[in-house]
Amino acid sequence: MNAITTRVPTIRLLFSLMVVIALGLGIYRFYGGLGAATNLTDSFPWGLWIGFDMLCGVALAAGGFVLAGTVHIFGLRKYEPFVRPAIVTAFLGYLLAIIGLMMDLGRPWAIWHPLIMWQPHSVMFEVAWCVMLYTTVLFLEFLPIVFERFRMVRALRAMRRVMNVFIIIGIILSTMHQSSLGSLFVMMGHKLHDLWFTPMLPLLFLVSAVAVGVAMVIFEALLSGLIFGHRHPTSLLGDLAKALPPILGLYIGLKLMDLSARGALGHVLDNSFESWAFNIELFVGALLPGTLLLSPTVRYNRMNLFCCVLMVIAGVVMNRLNVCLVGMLATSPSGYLPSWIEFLVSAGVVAGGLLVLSVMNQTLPIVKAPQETLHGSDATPHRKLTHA
Amino acid sequence: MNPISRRQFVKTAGAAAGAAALPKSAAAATEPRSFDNAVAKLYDATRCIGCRSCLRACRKVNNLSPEPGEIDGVNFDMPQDLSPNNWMVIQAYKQEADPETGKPADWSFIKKNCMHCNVPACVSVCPVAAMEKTEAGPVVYHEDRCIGCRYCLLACPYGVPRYEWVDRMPRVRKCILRLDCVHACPVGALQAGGRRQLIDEAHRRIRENPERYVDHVYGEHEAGGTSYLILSGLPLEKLGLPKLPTTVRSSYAEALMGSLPGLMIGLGLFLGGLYQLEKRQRRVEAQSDAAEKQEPQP
Repeated sequence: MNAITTRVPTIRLLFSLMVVIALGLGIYRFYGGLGAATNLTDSFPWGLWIGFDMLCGVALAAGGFVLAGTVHIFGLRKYEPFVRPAIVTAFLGYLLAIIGLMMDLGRPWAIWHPLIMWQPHSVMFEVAWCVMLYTTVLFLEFLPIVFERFRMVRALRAMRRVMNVFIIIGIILSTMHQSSLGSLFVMMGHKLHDLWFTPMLPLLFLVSAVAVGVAMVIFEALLSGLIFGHRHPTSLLGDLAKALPPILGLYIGLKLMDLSARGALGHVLDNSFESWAFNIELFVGALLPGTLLLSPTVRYNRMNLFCCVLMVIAGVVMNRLNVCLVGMLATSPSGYLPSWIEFLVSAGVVAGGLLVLSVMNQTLPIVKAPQETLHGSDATPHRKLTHA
Repeated sequence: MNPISRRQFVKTAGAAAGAAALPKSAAAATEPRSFDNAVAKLYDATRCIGCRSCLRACRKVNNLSPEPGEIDGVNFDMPQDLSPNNWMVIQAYKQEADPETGKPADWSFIKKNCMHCNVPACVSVCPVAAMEKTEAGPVVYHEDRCIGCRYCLLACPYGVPRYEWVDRMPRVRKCILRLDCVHACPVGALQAGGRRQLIDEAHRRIRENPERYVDHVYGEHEAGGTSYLILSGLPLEKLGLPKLPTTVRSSYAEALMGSLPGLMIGLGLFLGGLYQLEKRQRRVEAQSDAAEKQEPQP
């Protein structure tokens, strides 16, 4: 047992405490209203709970559709061991985003209204539908893990027959949802800084989500390996990381082309708060890891790989926060700094997610050898037995 | 049947079929509704004396409580900005004297409230149609539909909608184009009427008194036009009115939404096809694996 493993119960206790605090603050938010708990104003109506919980939560959940597509549609089956952890993370990520959304909505009890009150010109309408449908799909993709744990063979087999349809629907919904979160901001040309405001936002959100999806899968595999013991060879993780430089390259290229097409390239050298936020996001979050990961010595070394994917994740988190918060500051007379309640609620939501993930990692068959998993592979345990 | 009438017939039939196939909203999107005869208000800032009789009338008809405020220790209801209780506000802007042109210092009042756009951004972004531009002119809010996402606050280029932040059942609050403020005005700075008629009236005033006005009827073309029109003697951006293009703000986002059916169909076919290919590939591999097992290589 290494040092981190022995500390797991302590960390879980700490996370539980954070969840309890967030719960209490959540009650306070509903008792006193949004104004009592947050620093939101009429000129800054979306804050940390949308910028972090929603935008980052959904982006970091992109591993689910990226890996499912890679393995089951593009047929790169050697990455199958990563599909389950990615789907579990995505499912949790979406649940957490929904909790964040429930905290943030002024009238959360009316969250179901888009189901019957249609306004299909609104991007928010698309977002609402994607959240609902994709969370359902993720739940269905998650179910086999539970079935397997409780040996519900018949349910498993029935699920397998329709799983591919869910995977395809899941990819379509994810493509729509990831890009639509960017589309939300195409109406905000009068608010959002020129460095981020572009009609290309949906495409940029989608491409960066694919990048962070891959990065999250590697990050999780390395982290859970560190805590629960390594289960994946470094070579497999390094191979997966090969996907990052081209995706990040495309992302950087699109961003720079877009900036220059809009004549906003000069803002990069403004030496303003926004220009620094943009440069750190682009260079530390995309250019540096994208370049470093070209080298095999970086890719096939656990520590180096870990640092690189961490940079990619941080880059996308920064991007979402920049679009939703930093880029909006200059045009808001009131300004905005999240209140301590907003910070603690967001932290509690994340802690809750990690807590559930760590418990599930030990109790459910999430990390397994490829031939024993269900998702799409022809080799069920039964057939394996008959072969042997 | 002569050729002309046949052509006419085909044309008419095609148009009828097209109109039937198009959903109502899509037809509306291609041909924006005209609000020329709908209710509008014209505010002439050069006539306004800043008495806020309009504010008092607004408070009364909409049942809004006064804003608690103090000036030199005396309670005073003088709002500085829009708020859930102030659906309109009178602000004053001062322009310093310009020594180069010899222009003296000048100032102007401005009555700010919802502009009641012809094609409002708030209506376009609302996921549950809680905001509605009615045929009669006003943009109204339906509390029973609202989910509280506050997208309307962000989308409005004029920064008009206000939120009840400290309320447990918060609502979006804004002007709903009642005419009591117009009737309350003692100096005729406000005028109600049909939109086109008011635009003509505004241009007439500019024509007759060109030195009194900036040659621009604010709201005639801004972001597709509005039902609240402003005439001013000072440059409009001095009065805090944003310079906006004449194009409708939501056209791009709505086009993105329009692309979704194509995206869903295209991506579905592409992924389905790829999946079938992958499945066949797997079957071939499995067969060759089985063949290898049966006949081991020497």
